[in-house]
Amino acid sequence: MAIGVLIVMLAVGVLCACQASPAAYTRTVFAMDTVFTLTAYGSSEVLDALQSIVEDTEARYSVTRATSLVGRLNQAGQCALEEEDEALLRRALDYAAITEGAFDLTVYPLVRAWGFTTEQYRVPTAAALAEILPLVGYEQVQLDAGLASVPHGVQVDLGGIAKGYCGELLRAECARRGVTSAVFNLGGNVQTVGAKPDGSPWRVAIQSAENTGYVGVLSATDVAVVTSGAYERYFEQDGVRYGHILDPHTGYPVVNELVSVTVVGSEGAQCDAYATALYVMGVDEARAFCRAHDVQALLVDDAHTVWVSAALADSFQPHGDYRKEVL
Amino acid sequence: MSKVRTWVWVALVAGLAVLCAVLCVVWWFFRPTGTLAYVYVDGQCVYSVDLSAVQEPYTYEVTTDYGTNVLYIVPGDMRVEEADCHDHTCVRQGWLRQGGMDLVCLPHHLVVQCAQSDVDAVAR
Repeated sequence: MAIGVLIVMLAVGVLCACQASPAAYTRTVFAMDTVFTLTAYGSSEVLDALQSIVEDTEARYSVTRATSLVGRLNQAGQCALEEEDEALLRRALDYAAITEGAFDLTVYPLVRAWGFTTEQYRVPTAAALAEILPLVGYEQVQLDAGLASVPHGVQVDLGGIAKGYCGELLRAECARRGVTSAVFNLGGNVQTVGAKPDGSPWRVAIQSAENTGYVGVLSATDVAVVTSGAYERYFEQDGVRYGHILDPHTGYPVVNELVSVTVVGSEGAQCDAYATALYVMGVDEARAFCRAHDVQALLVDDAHTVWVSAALADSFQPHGDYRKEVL
Repeated sequence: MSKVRTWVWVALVAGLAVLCAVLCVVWWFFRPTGTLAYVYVDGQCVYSVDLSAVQEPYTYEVTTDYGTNVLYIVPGDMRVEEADCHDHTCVRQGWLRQGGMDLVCLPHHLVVQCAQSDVDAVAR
Protein backbone atom coordinates (compact mmCIF):
# COMPACT_ATOMS: atom_id res chain seq x y z
CA MET A 1 0.00 0.00 0.00
CA ALA A 2 2.82 2.35 0.97
CA ILE A 3 4.51 1.67 -2.34
CA GLY A 4 1.26 2.50 -4.11
CA VAL A 5 1.00 5.90 -2.38
CA LEU A 6 4.64 6.64 -3.19
CA ILE A 7 4.08 5.81 -6.82
CA VAL A 8 0.99 8.03 -7.00
CA MET A 9 2.98 10.91 -5.49
CA LEU A 10 5.73 10.35 -8.04
CA ALA A 11 3.16 10.35 -10.83
CA VAL A 12 1.66 13.61 -9.58
CA GLY A 13 5.15 15.06 -9.40
CA VAL A 14 5.86 14.09 -12.98
CA LEU A 15 2.58 15.62 -14.15
CA CYS A 16 3.19 18.81 -12.21
CA ALA A 17 6.63 19.11 -13.78
CA CYS A 18 4.97 18.95 -17.16
CA GLN A 19 2.58 21.80 -16.31
CA ALA A 20 3.09 25.13 -18.05
CA SER A 21 4.15 28.21 -16.05
CA PRO A 22 1.34 30.53 -14.84
CA ALA A 23 -0.53 32.24 -17.64
CA ALA A 24 0.28 35.85 -18.50
CA TYR A 25 -2.60 38.32 -18.48
CA THR A 26 -2.01 41.62 -20.25
CA ARG A 27 -3.95 44.86 -20.50
CA THR A 28 -3.17 47.98 -22.49
CA VAL A 29 -4.19 51.30 -20.96
CA PHE A 30 -3.88 54.68 -22.65
CA ALA A 31 -3.16 57.19 -19.91
CA MET A 32 -0.82 60.05 -18.98
CA ASP A 33 -0.38 60.84 -22.65
CA THR A 34 1.25 57.49 -23.30
CA VAL A 35 0.48 53.78 -23.38
CA PHE A 36 0.77 51.44 -20.39
CA THR A 37 1.17 47.69 -20.82
CA LEU A 38 0.29 45.77 -17.67
CA THR A 39 1.21 42.08 -17.53
CA ALA A 40 0.48 39.96 -14.46
CA TYR A 41 1.13 36.24 -14.15
CA GLY A 42 -1.39 33.85 -12.66
CA SER A 43 -4.21 36.35 -12.08
CA SER A 44 -6.47 38.13 -14.51
CA GLU A 45 -8.64 39.66 -11.77
CA VAL A 46 -5.86 41.98 -10.66
CA LEU A 47 -5.87 43.82 -14.00
CA ASP A 48 -9.07 45.75 -13.23
CA ALA A 49 -7.56 47.02 -9.98
CA LEU A 50 -4.30 47.93 -11.71
CA GLN A 51 -6.11 49.84 -14.44
CA SER A 52 -8.08 51.74 -11.80
CA ILE A 53 -4.82 52.73 -10.09
CA VAL A 54 -3.43 54.07 -13.37
CA GLU A 55 -6.56 56.07 -14.09
CA ASP A 56 -6.79 57.36 -10.53
CA THR A 57 -3.14 58.44 -10.55
CA GLU A 58 -3.70 60.37 -13.76
CA ALA A 59 -6.87 61.97 -12.37
CA ARG A 60 -5.05 63.08 -9.20
CA TYR A 61 -1.81 64.39 -10.64
CA SER A 62 -2.36 65.37 -14.29
CA VAL A 63 -1.22 68.91 -14.92
CA THR A 64 -3.66 69.32 -17.80
CA ARG A 65 -6.78 68.41 -15.82
CA ALA A 66 -8.33 71.37 -14.07
CA THR A 67 -9.91 69.09 -11.47
CA SER A 68 -6.69 67.31 -10.48
CA LEU A 69 -4.76 68.22 -7.37
CA VAL A 70 -2.06 69.80 -9.52
CA GLY A 71 -4.62 71.60 -11.69
CA ARG A 72 -6.34 73.08 -8.65
CA LEU A 73 -3.04 74.10 -7.06
CA ASN A 74 -1.88 75.84 -10.23
CA GLN A 75 -5.17 77.69 -10.71
CA ALA A 76 -5.85 78.80 -7.15
CA GLY A 77 -2.31 79.06 -5.84
CA GLN A 78 -3.14 76.76 -2.99
CA CYS A 79 -4.75 73.41 -2.43
CA ALA A 80 -5.66 71.18 0.50
CA LEU A 81 -3.80 67.90 0.43
CA GLU A 82 -4.62 64.42 1.53
CA GLU A 83 -1.89 62.59 3.40
CA GLU A 84 -0.78 60.58 0.36
CA ASP A 85 -0.63 63.68 -1.84
CA GLU A 86 1.38 65.63 0.69
CA ALA A 87 3.82 62.74 1.04
CA LEU A 88 4.31 62.63 -2.73
CA LEU A 89 4.79 66.39 -3.01
CA ARG A 90 7.28 66.27 -0.16
CA ARG A 91 9.20 63.52 -1.92
CA ALA A 92 9.27 65.58 -5.13
CA LEU A 93 10.64 68.54 -3.19
CA ASP A 94 13.26 66.32 -1.56
CA TYR A 95 14.41 65.04 -4.95
CA ALA A 96 14.61 68.61 -6.22
CA ALA A 97 16.66 69.66 -3.21
CA ILE A 98 19.11 66.77 -3.29
CA THR A 99 19.71 67.26 -7.02
CA GLU A 100 20.06 71.02 -6.47
CA GLY A 101 17.23 71.73 -8.85
CA ALA A 102 18.40 69.53 -11.71
CA PHE A 103 15.03 67.87 -11.21
CA ASP A 104 12.49 70.59 -10.57
CA LEU A 105 8.72 70.16 -10.25
CA THR A 106 8.12 73.83 -11.19
CA VAL A 107 9.59 73.67 -14.68
CA TYR A 108 6.14 73.63 -16.32
CA PRO A 109 6.08 77.31 -17.46
CA LEU A 110 9.28 76.65 -19.41
CA VAL A 111 7.87 73.48 -20.96
CA ARG A 112 4.86 75.50 -22.12
CA ALA A 113 7.03 78.27 -23.52
CA TRP A 114 8.82 75.76 -25.76
CA GLY A 115 5.48 74.29 -26.88
CA PHE A 116 6.14 70.77 -25.60
CA THR A 117 2.74 70.62 -23.92
CA THR A 118 0.77 71.40 -27.06
CA GLU A 119 3.24 70.22 -29.73
CA GLN A 120 3.08 73.75 -31.16
CA TYR A 121 6.85 73.94 -30.94
CA ARG A 122 8.75 77.24 -30.93
CA VAL A 123 12.06 78.63 -29.73
CA PRO A 124 11.33 81.30 -27.12
CA THR A 125 13.34 84.51 -27.18
CA ALA A 126 15.99 85.03 -24.53
CA ALA A 127 13.87 87.84 -23.13
CA ALA A 128 10.85 85.56 -22.83
CA LEU A 129 12.90 82.94 -21.00
CA ALA A 130 14.34 85.58 -18.68
CA GLU A 131 10.79 86.52 -17.73
CA ILE A 132 9.82 82.93 -17.05
CA LEU A 133 12.92 81.77 -15.13
CA PRO A 134 11.97 83.56 -11.87
CA LEU A 135 8.83 81.40 -11.84
CA VAL A 136 10.95 78.24 -11.83
CA GLY A 137 12.32 77.08 -8.51
CA TYR A 138 11.14 74.31 -6.22
CA GLU A 139 11.89 76.46 -3.15
CA GLN A 140 8.77 78.46 -3.99
CA VAL A 141 6.45 75.54 -3.26
CA GLN A 142 5.26 75.65 0.33
CA LEU A 143 3.87 72.65 2.21
CA ASP A 144 2.28 73.31 5.54
CA ALA A 145 -0.02 71.03 7.52
CA GLY A 146 -2.01 69.62 4.67
CA LEU A 147 -1.91 72.72 2.49
CA ALA A 148 0.23 73.33 -0.59
CA SER A 149 0.73 76.82 -1.93
CA VAL A 150 2.68 78.50 -4.73
CA PRO A 151 3.19 82.19 -5.61
CA HIS A 152 1.25 83.63 -8.53
CA GLY A 153 2.59 82.31 -11.84
CA VAL A 154 4.50 79.37 -10.34
CA GLN A 155 3.17 76.09 -11.64
CA VAL A 156 3.71 72.59 -10.32
CA ASP A 157 3.97 69.56 -12.58
CA LEU A 158 4.36 66.07 -11.12
CA GLY A 159 4.67 64.51 -14.58
CA GLY A 160 8.35 63.94 -13.87
CA ILE A 161 7.57 61.38 -11.18
CA ALA A 162 3.93 60.38 -11.77
CA LYS A 163 4.67 57.30 -13.87
CA GLY A 164 7.34 56.12 -11.47
CA TYR A 165 5.01 56.67 -8.54
CA CYS A 166 2.26 54.82 -10.38
CA GLY A 167 4.65 51.88 -10.72
CA GLU A 168 5.12 51.87 -6.95
CA LEU A 169 1.35 51.78 -6.43
CA LEU A 170 0.94 48.95 -8.94
CA ARG A 171 3.63 46.91 -7.24
CA ALA A 172 1.99 47.46 -3.84
CA GLU A 173 -1.37 46.35 -5.23
CA CYS A 174 0.22 43.16 -6.54
CA ALA A 175 1.68 42.49 -3.10
CA ARG A 176 -1.74 43.03 -1.50
CA ARG A 177 -3.31 40.54 -3.87
CA GLY A 178 -0.60 37.93 -3.71
CA VAL A 179 0.60 38.45 -7.29
CA THR A 180 4.31 37.66 -7.15
CA SER A 181 5.23 37.99 -10.80
CA ALA A 182 4.35 40.94 -13.02
CA VAL A 183 5.96 43.44 -15.36
CA PHE A 184 4.58 46.84 -16.28
CA ASN A 185 5.71 49.10 -19.06
CA LEU A 186 4.46 52.55 -18.17
CA GLY A 187 5.20 54.50 -21.32
CA GLY A 188 8.85 53.44 -21.20
CA ASN A 189 9.15 53.31 -17.40
CA VAL A 190 9.50 49.65 -16.50
CA GLN A 191 8.31 48.35 -13.13
CA THR A 192 9.01 44.73 -12.31
CA VAL A 193 7.26 42.78 -9.56
CA GLY A 194 9.25 39.88 -8.18
CA ALA A 195 10.99 37.67 -10.70
CA LYS A 196 9.66 35.85 -13.75
CA PRO A 197 7.40 32.88 -13.01
CA ASP A 198 10.33 30.50 -13.48
CA GLY A 199 12.34 32.42 -10.89
CA SER A 200 14.76 34.05 -13.31
CA PRO A 201 15.19 37.85 -13.46
CA TRP A 202 13.26 39.96 -15.95
CA ARG A 203 15.19 40.94 -19.05
CA VAL A 204 14.77 44.69 -19.48
CA ALA A 205 16.28 46.22 -22.62
CA ILE A 206 17.46 49.81 -22.77
CA GLN A 207 16.34 51.46 -26.01
CA SER A 208 19.03 52.95 -28.21
CA ALA A 209 18.69 56.59 -29.21
CA GLU A 210 19.11 55.69 -32.87
CA ASN A 211 16.09 53.34 -32.63
CA THR A 212 18.13 50.56 -34.21
CA GLY A 213 17.99 48.11 -31.35
CA TYR A 214 19.12 48.07 -27.75
CA VAL A 215 21.93 49.64 -25.80
CA GLY A 216 21.91 46.42 -23.83
CA VAL A 217 19.86 44.24 -21.55
CA LEU A 218 19.58 44.46 -17.78
CA SER A 219 18.57 41.57 -15.54
CA ALA A 220 16.15 43.03 -13.01
CA THR A 221 14.07 41.68 -10.13
CA ASP A 222 11.43 43.61 -8.18
CA VAL A 223 12.73 47.05 -9.16
CA ALA A 224 11.81 50.04 -11.28
CA VAL A 225 13.91 50.70 -14.38
CA VAL A 226 13.43 54.27 -15.60
CA THR A 227 15.08 55.87 -18.60
CA SER A 228 15.30 59.55 -19.53
CA GLY A 229 16.55 60.90 -22.81
CA ALA A 230 15.59 63.51 -25.34
CA TYR A 231 15.84 61.25 -28.39
CA GLU A 232 12.10 60.61 -28.66
CA ARG A 233 10.47 63.97 -27.94
CA TYR A 234 12.13 66.82 -29.75
CA PHE A 235 11.65 69.23 -32.61
CA GLU A 236 13.97 70.71 -35.16
CA GLN A 237 14.15 74.31 -36.27
CA ASP A 238 16.71 75.82 -38.64
CA GLY A 239 18.72 72.62 -38.49
CA VAL A 240 18.92 72.59 -34.70
CA ARG A 241 17.38 69.82 -32.63
CA TYR A 242 15.65 70.87 -29.40
CA GLY A 243 14.96 68.07 -26.90
CA HIS A 244 12.09 68.11 -24.42
CA ILE A 245 14.22 67.87 -21.26
CA LEU A 246 14.90 71.43 -20.15
CA ASP A 247 17.59 72.64 -17.80
CA PRO A 248 15.63 74.38 -15.02
CA HIS A 249 18.58 76.71 -14.39
CA THR A 250 18.95 78.03 -17.95
CA GLY A 251 15.53 77.43 -19.48
CA TYR A 252 17.08 75.78 -22.55
CA PRO A 253 16.96 72.14 -23.66
CA VAL A 254 19.76 70.07 -22.19
CA VAL A 255 22.71 69.62 -24.51
CA ASN A 256 25.56 67.49 -23.25
CA GLU A 257 27.33 64.23 -24.03
CA LEU A 258 24.62 62.11 -22.43
CA VAL A 259 22.18 60.38 -24.74
CA SER A 260 20.13 58.64 -22.08
CA VAL A 261 20.12 57.86 -18.39
CA THR A 262 18.57 54.82 -16.77
CA VAL A 263 18.08 54.60 -13.02
CA VAL A 264 17.27 51.36 -11.23
CA GLY A 265 15.79 51.16 -7.76
CA SER A 266 13.01 50.11 -5.47
CA GLU A 267 11.21 53.48 -5.57
CA GLY A 268 9.89 54.30 -9.01
CA ALA A 269 9.25 57.97 -8.27
CA GLN A 270 12.82 58.47 -7.11
CA CYS A 271 14.16 56.65 -10.18
CA ASP A 272 11.99 58.89 -12.36
CA ALA A 273 13.24 62.11 -10.75
CA TYR A 274 16.88 61.02 -10.68
CA ALA A 275 16.86 59.87 -14.31
CA THR A 276 15.84 63.37 -15.38
CA ALA A 277 18.24 65.05 -12.97
CA LEU A 278 21.25 62.97 -14.03
CA TYR A 279 20.49 63.70 -17.67
CA VAL A 280 20.46 67.43 -16.89
CA MET A 281 23.74 67.18 -14.93
CA GLY A 282 25.85 65.67 -17.70
CA VAL A 283 28.14 62.69 -17.41
CA ASP A 284 30.77 63.92 -14.96
CA GLU A 285 28.39 65.45 -12.45
CA ALA A 286 26.01 62.51 -12.83
CA ARG A 287 28.76 59.99 -12.10
CA ALA A 288 29.77 61.91 -9.00
CA PHE A 289 26.14 62.13 -7.86
CA CYS A 290 25.58 58.40 -8.31
CA ARG A 291 28.68 57.57 -6.30
CA ALA A 292 27.86 60.05 -3.56
CA HIS A 293 24.23 58.99 -3.17
CA ASP A 294 24.53 55.29 -3.99
CA VAL A 295 22.29 55.62 -7.04
CA GLN A 296 22.25 52.64 -9.39
CA ALA A 297 22.35 53.98 -12.91
CA LEU A 298 23.41 53.44 -16.52
CA LEU A 299 24.64 56.57 -18.25
CA VAL A 300 24.84 56.27 -22.03
CA ASP A 301 27.05 58.85 -23.74
CA ASP A 302 27.34 59.84 -27.39
CA ALA A 303 30.47 57.71 -27.83
CA HIS A 304 28.39 54.59 -26.99
CA THR A 305 30.02 54.18 -23.60
CA VAL A 306 27.64 52.95 -20.93
CA TRP A 307 28.75 54.11 -17.49
CA VAL A 308 27.36 51.48 -15.13
CA SER A 309 27.11 51.56 -11.35
CA ALA A 310 29.25 48.83 -9.80
CA ALA A 311 26.17 47.14 -8.35
CA LEU A 312 24.68 46.75 -11.84
CA ALA A 313 27.84 45.83 -13.71
CA ASP A 314 27.26 42.08 -13.65
CA SER A 315 23.57 42.28 -14.48
CA PHE A 316 23.96 44.52 -17.55
CA GLN A 317 25.07 43.16 -20.90
CA PRO A 318 25.77 45.72 -23.64
CA HIS A 319 24.75 45.05 -27.22
CA GLY A 320 26.47 45.85 -30.49
CA ASP A 321 29.18 48.49 -30.28
CA TYR A 322 28.15 49.72 -26.84
CA ARG A 323 30.78 49.10 -24.18
CA LYS A 324 30.39 49.34 -20.45
CA GLU A 325 32.58 51.12 -17.94
CA VAL A 326 32.03 51.14 -14.21
CA LEU A 327 31.21 54.67 -13.12
CA MET B 1 -1.38 -10.44 -5.22
CA SER B 2 0.37 -7.50 -3.59
CA LYS B 3 3.31 -7.83 -5.99
CA VAL B 4 0.98 -7.87 -8.96
CA ARG B 5 -0.70 -4.62 -7.80
CA THR B 6 2.68 -3.00 -7.34
CA TRP B 7 3.65 -3.85 -10.87
CA VAL B 8 0.36 -2.42 -12.15
CA TRP B 9 1.17 0.87 -10.41
CA VAL B 10 4.72 0.86 -11.76
CA ALA B 11 3.44 0.25 -15.26
CA LEU B 12 0.86 3.01 -14.87
CA VAL B 13 3.43 5.57 -13.74
CA ALA B 14 5.92 4.49 -16.37
CA GLY B 15 3.20 4.89 -19.00
CA LEU B 16 2.37 8.39 -17.74
CA ALA B 17 6.04 9.39 -17.72
CA VAL B 18 6.49 8.14 -21.28
CA LEU B 19 3.34 9.98 -22.35
CA CYS B 20 4.64 13.19 -20.78
CA ALA B 21 7.99 12.79 -22.49
CA VAL B 22 6.33 12.16 -25.85
CA LEU B 23 4.08 15.21 -25.45
CA CYS B 24 7.10 17.36 -24.55
CA VAL B 25 8.99 16.17 -27.62
CA VAL B 26 5.97 16.72 -29.88
CA TRP B 27 5.48 20.24 -28.46
CA TRP B 28 9.18 21.01 -28.96
CA PHE B 29 9.11 20.06 -32.62
CA PHE B 30 5.78 21.67 -33.39
CA ARG B 31 6.05 24.78 -31.18
CA PRO B 32 5.34 28.06 -32.94
CA THR B 33 8.61 29.27 -34.41
CA GLY B 34 7.36 32.10 -36.56
CA THR B 35 7.67 35.76 -35.82
CA LEU B 36 4.16 36.74 -34.93
CA ALA B 37 3.19 40.38 -34.82
CA TYR B 38 -0.09 41.62 -33.42
CA VAL B 39 -1.88 44.89 -34.09
CA TYR B 40 -4.06 46.16 -31.25
CA VAL B 41 -6.51 49.04 -31.10
CA ASP B 42 -7.74 49.88 -27.60
CA GLY B 43 -6.17 46.62 -26.45
CA GLN B 44 -8.19 44.49 -28.90
CA CYS B 45 -6.27 42.53 -31.53
CA VAL B 46 -7.43 43.68 -34.97
CA TYR B 47 -4.79 41.98 -37.12
CA SER B 48 -1.99 39.47 -36.77
CA VAL B 49 0.71 38.31 -39.14
CA ASP B 50 3.53 35.78 -39.11
CA LEU B 51 6.34 37.99 -40.37
CA SER B 52 8.57 34.99 -41.09
CA ALA B 53 5.98 33.69 -43.54
CA VAL B 54 5.63 36.92 -45.51
CA GLN B 55 6.88 36.41 -49.08
CA GLU B 56 6.23 39.76 -50.71
CA PRO B 57 5.90 43.26 -49.22
CA TYR B 58 2.35 44.51 -48.85
CA THR B 59 0.40 47.19 -47.05
CA TYR B 60 -2.44 46.71 -44.58
CA GLU B 61 -4.75 49.57 -43.61
CA VAL B 62 -6.14 49.82 -40.10
CA THR B 63 -9.07 52.23 -40.00
CA THR B 64 -11.00 52.87 -36.82
CA ASP B 65 -13.01 55.75 -35.37
CA TYR B 66 -9.68 57.29 -34.33
CA GLY B 67 -8.26 57.36 -37.86
CA THR B 68 -6.16 55.37 -40.29
CA ASN B 69 -2.70 53.81 -40.04
CA VAL B 70 -1.18 52.11 -43.08
CA LEU B 71 1.15 49.27 -42.14
CA TYR B 72 3.95 48.25 -44.50
CA ILE B 73 4.77 44.57 -44.05
CA VAL B 74 7.87 42.94 -45.50
CA PRO B 75 9.48 39.54 -44.95
CA GLY B 76 10.56 39.56 -41.32
CA ASP B 77 9.52 43.07 -40.31
CA MET B 78 6.87 45.79 -40.49
CA ARG B 79 6.41 49.49 -39.84
CA VAL B 80 3.77 52.20 -39.98
CA GLU B 81 4.11 53.73 -43.41
CA GLU B 82 1.42 56.39 -43.23
CA ALA B 83 -1.01 57.72 -40.67
CA ASP B 84 -3.48 60.56 -40.49
CA CYS B 85 -2.70 61.21 -36.83
CA HIS B 86 -1.47 64.68 -35.89
CA ASP B 87 2.05 63.82 -34.71
CA HIS B 88 3.24 60.94 -36.97
CA THR B 89 5.39 59.57 -34.16
CA CYS B 90 4.30 56.08 -35.18
CA VAL B 91 5.71 56.64 -38.68
CA ARG B 92 9.00 58.00 -37.32
CA GLN B 93 9.43 54.96 -35.06
CA GLY B 94 10.54 52.92 -38.05
CA TRP B 95 10.71 49.15 -38.12
CA LEU B 96 9.16 46.95 -35.45
CA ARG B 97 11.90 44.33 -35.15
CA GLN B 98 14.88 46.44 -36.11
CA GLY B 99 13.88 49.06 -33.55
CA GLY B 100 13.15 46.39 -30.97
CA MET B 101 10.13 47.98 -29.34
CA ASP B 102 6.39 48.26 -29.82
CA LEU B 103 5.11 50.66 -32.43
CA VAL B 104 2.62 53.01 -30.83
CA CYS B 105 0.20 55.54 -32.29
CA LEU B 106 -1.18 57.32 -29.25
CA PRO B 107 -3.80 59.42 -31.06
CA HIS B 108 -5.23 56.28 -32.66
CA HIS B 109 -4.78 54.01 -29.60
CA LEU B 110 -2.88 51.60 -31.85
CA VAL B 111 -0.07 49.30 -30.69
CA VAL B 112 1.93 46.86 -32.83
CA GLN B 113 3.74 44.19 -30.83
CA CYS B 114 6.07 41.37 -31.77
CA ALA B 115 5.21 38.21 -29.87
CA GLN B 116 8.65 36.66 -30.08
CA SER B 117 11.05 38.84 -28.19
CA ASP B 118 14.13 37.99 -26.19
CA VAL B 119 13.33 40.69 -23.66
CA ASP B 120 10.42 41.23 -21.28
CA ALA B 121 10.23 45.02 -21.49
CA VAL B 122 12.01 47.96 -23.10
CA ALA B 123 12.91 51.01 -21.01
CA ARG B 124 13.06 54.24 -22.99
